[in-house]
Amino acid sequence: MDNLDPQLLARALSVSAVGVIILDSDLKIHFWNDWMEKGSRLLASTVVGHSLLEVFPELQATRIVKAVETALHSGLPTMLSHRLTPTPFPLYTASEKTHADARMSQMVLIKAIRDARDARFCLIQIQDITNTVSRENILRNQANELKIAKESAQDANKAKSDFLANMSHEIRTPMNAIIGMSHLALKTELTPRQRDYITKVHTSAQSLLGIINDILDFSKIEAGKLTMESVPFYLEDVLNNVGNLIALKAEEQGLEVNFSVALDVPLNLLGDPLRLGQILINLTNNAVKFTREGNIIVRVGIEKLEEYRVTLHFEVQDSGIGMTPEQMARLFTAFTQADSSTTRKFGGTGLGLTICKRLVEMMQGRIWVESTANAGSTFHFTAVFAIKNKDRRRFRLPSRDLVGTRVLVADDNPVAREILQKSFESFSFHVTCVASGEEALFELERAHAQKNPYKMVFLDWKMQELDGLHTAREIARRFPGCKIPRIVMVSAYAREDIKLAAEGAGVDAYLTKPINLSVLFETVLSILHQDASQSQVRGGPEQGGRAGPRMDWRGVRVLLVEDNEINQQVARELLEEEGIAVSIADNGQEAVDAVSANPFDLVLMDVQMPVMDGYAATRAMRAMPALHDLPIIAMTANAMAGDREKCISYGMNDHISKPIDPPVMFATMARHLELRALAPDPTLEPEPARPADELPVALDGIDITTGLRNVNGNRKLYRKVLKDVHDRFADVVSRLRDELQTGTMDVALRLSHTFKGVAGTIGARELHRLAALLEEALKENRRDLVPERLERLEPEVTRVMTALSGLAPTPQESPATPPRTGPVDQERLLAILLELDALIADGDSDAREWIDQARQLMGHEMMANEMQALTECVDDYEFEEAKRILQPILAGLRTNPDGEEHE
Amino acid sequence: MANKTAMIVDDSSLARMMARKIFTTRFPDWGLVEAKDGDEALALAPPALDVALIDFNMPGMNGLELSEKLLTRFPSLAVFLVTANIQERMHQRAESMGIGFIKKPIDEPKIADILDKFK
Amino acid sequence: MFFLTEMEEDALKEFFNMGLGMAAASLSQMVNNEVLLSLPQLKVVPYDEATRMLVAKEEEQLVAIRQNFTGELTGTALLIFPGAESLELVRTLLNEQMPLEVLMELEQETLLDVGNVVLNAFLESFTQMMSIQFEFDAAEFLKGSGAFLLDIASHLAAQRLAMQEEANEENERAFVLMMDFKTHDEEDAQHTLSGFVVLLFSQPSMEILKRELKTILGAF
Repeated sequence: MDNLDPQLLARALSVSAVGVIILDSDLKIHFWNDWMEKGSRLLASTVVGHSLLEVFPELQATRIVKAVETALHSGLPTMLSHRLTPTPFPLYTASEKTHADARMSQMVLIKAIRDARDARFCLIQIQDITNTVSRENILRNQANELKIAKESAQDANKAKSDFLANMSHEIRTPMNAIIGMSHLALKTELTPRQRDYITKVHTSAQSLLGIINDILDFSKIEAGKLTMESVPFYLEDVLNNVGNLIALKAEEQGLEVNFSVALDVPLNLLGDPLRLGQILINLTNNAVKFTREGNIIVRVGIEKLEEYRVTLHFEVQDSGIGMTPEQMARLFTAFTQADSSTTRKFGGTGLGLTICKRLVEMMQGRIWVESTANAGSTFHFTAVFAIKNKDRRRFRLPSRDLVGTRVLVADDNPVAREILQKSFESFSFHVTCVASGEEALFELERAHAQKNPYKMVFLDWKMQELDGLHTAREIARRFPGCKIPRIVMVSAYAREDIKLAAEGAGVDAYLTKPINLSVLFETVLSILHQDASQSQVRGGPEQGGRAGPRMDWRGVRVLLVEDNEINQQVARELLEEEGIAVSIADNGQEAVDAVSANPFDLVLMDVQMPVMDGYAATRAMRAMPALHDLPIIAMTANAMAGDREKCISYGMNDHISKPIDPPVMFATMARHLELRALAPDPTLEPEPARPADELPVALDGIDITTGLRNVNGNRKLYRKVLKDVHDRFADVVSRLRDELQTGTMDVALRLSHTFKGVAGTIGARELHRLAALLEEALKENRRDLVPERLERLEPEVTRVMTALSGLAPTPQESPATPPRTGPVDQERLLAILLELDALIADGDSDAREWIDQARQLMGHEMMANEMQALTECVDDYEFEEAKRILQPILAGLRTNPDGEEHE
Repeated sequence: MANKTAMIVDDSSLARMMARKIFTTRFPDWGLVEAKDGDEALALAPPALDVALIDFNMPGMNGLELSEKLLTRFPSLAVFLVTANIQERMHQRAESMGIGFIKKPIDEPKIADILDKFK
Repeated sequence: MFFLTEMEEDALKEFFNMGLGMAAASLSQMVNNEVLLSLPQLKVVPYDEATRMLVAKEEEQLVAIRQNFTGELTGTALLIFPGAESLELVRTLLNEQMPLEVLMELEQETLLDVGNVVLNAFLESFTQMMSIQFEFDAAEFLKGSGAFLLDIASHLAAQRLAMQEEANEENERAFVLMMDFKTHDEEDAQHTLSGFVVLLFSQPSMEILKRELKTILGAF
């Protein structure tokens, strides 16, 4: 190095790709290279010999100058980074293309060097990193944007989940009202057109609920929140349920649905029956949707049988439009059906199959489809279940004589024929199958001639040429006198008219497809005059409420805890229809109060309520020893899988989800009550449905007969009065206490008097008696007796008011009548009432105005019930009734000019 | 003139040695108590104490904590934190307590500056 | 074979602490945030053991700032962090909230700047307390395993001064210092980050160092 030409070295430094400055110990510039000239726009000749601070005064006291001093003083080098050097050299960059005067971002290295005489100099090297800085700034901004985007996506996702959870509740609540109300409406007398409308409202609401459930399920799948239950269930129950749901739709389209369950399939299983049902319903619904004519067959077989578990193979086969391979490939993806035009044509969310796929996977199975365009599709899936009971289904005949019973099956559908044949063979019957009515007749003739007649004939209702009905008539004609063979009509349609026609044609029994094997067996035995109950169906289901006999619900006392008024009405009417005495609590606190004051047989508890929710209320109830065993059934609108567990963990006995499905509700309730079965005597059928605002059958503490007599048997009016009493006197005891405390004895006396009268009117005998005792004590100013009598009155008030609380609250009363304190202007009142009397006699609806005037004058308490009743009669144009009510008021007013109220 | 007493608290023996050297050569009238940490300082503190030179970074209680304790015992004590690194936060806290600072390393002029005030 | 007496070690630590106090003050100023530097541990160990101490973190990618020095004292000073910690240091020093998975170019540069300040504090301690002449190379940024970072053969200074042969002798010594950085974030929560400072000295340098320490302590 030493022999290198100094000129050469200086040149090399001058053309270097970094900025180079050399300073002496006085910060005087000794060297300034070409790069520096460009960057600073200052020539070396102008700066050399000057102090660095003269050239760049802005650098005074900056890190750069300090680092230079450190290097000169102690020899330590410094690396100044862009980020930590707020004041760099004021240089211009050539790398910023867009901006000629762009400031240079730089990295600066400051280092001590020594010359030949060992004197310290300072070497400054500057690197232009403007490009790197701007590139990194871009990256930084992008990263920042990504971070913001990610955060907002997460927020949005959370908002979506929250939204769906809320919507679940919010949508289900009105859905409950729509489904429940239309269910109730269908039980009333309707014109055919109204029935048609309401039926459509009902079915549409059901299918809307299905869509909502799909969306919720899908969102749960997305959120990974879908869970599986593992409960014992009976496979045939699931299939029956699917059959019931699908039959109606299939029937509308003229399709036939058949179930074929292989005989070795174990039926007592452990798993999630609701989810299995959901898959089957979805697939069969799809099959129905995409099939114009023909058959839908649901098959169940065993794929793999192990000691404690079984892999079942389900098939849903249709004869519908089928699919191309391309369509099949997209099938299990969310939001697609075969193609979007199909979606438009057939409706649906397109989520069903995605959900099925996920559900099947959760059952450790797989799902696939085989299809040919325009020739139908078969959806297959497998699912693993634990076997609860290894007993196979075996149908044991009650008598050996029945083995080999000859049965003839006539059905033009080969699948249905085959299913029936296999079923009968499993009963160890002897079966012959034919494909038409004519063949059936021919075969019967032949057998008859051979003296080997059939004991039973199963006829399909809908066959080409000679249908089931005609065949049955023909059989009856050809084989008169004898009741053999027995005829069973099989139809895909659960239609009353077909059933009636079949009975008219001499048919012994009527079965609907899909045929359930147990039902078939029982039908066969009952036809053969054998008592089916003596035979045994191995592995049959335990009798559930749904399948069980009609129960006698009369006299059962149920507390309904529900904050939504409409849902109160729906549930109450469903319950009352069965003769259940229903009381209502608006929230958990009221419920707790009610159950502590009155005995109940069962509580139906909404979970989400204001004031006190269902969980807290249940806990409070369970804390009372007397209520330890009170059945409490939760009603939730969330339909989350964990709901049931949560309810039970809070001490509830069971759980039903909203919208309320009446059979489910009753079956669930029946599980927790000891009910008598209704005798099968048709005369003991429950009373026909009553109009929506009718009276309950019984009210605790109230003699309804007496009460009704008091209002001339006007049930509607009585009901209004009862509601009114509840609205106005529920707090009577506390009001009395307040008055007594403030010493206004006369007000208390008047209040107790009014209340006594009211209690008598509604038929609350005990309440009337106790109120009279209180009134007596007040009247005689027996202050010593008053507290005790008030004490005695209180529980009875609670009892009656709780009973009355079951009546839906009246609409907000008009605030037109402020509490009246002064004495009533009797003369004016009398005048008004006389005018009113005349108007009512004329049937003039102007009467209403006069009633209002009279009420204003009479104030809040005076004869309020009567006046309310009067108002309603006039509103309803029931002037006769109005007259009847007005007469005693007028009479009372005439005989009691001091204004004491009528009793 | 009654003899005055100073205390040096530092976990570094070098720092204590340097202080001792300055005191013995330059301020022989002064009594000097040495302690290696806060606990020792509190134990060894004489009944009358005029000046305390306290290292900030020490094992156990730090200089500021020790200062607080010493000031409750000797309300008129002149306390100086000896540190190489005066942070703004610490500075404010110390100043509010009337505590002064000496920048490390301790040397004769810095000590003289303080002790001369006691003449 | 030699080692430092307790008194010598204490004196050395005090020098370093004074240097670190200065470094912390300038770092605080640079980042506009209070930075505290402390030296909870100082160990003088044979070179092998220093390697072992860092190799314990073998699986981790380490990041180091290295500064070589030559003259009467010859050796290498290294500030070493686990890769993630070094990023964390830059982030907290700059109060940066950005989640960046890689150490970006400018952050390397920033870390180099910070490491340079810290290492200068150590080296300055030597120059201030002792009458020793030595020169410093510019700081460099390194990334790799502990063994790689301490591999003397890779050090230019070592190659230049034939330190290589001496490195294998059993009396080769290294200073290993644990270092804590304390900083505050925007919410004023304190962050503590730990790194290592390793000072490798050639044997003659070590002897000079001991001699110098003796001189200083003898003055008292």
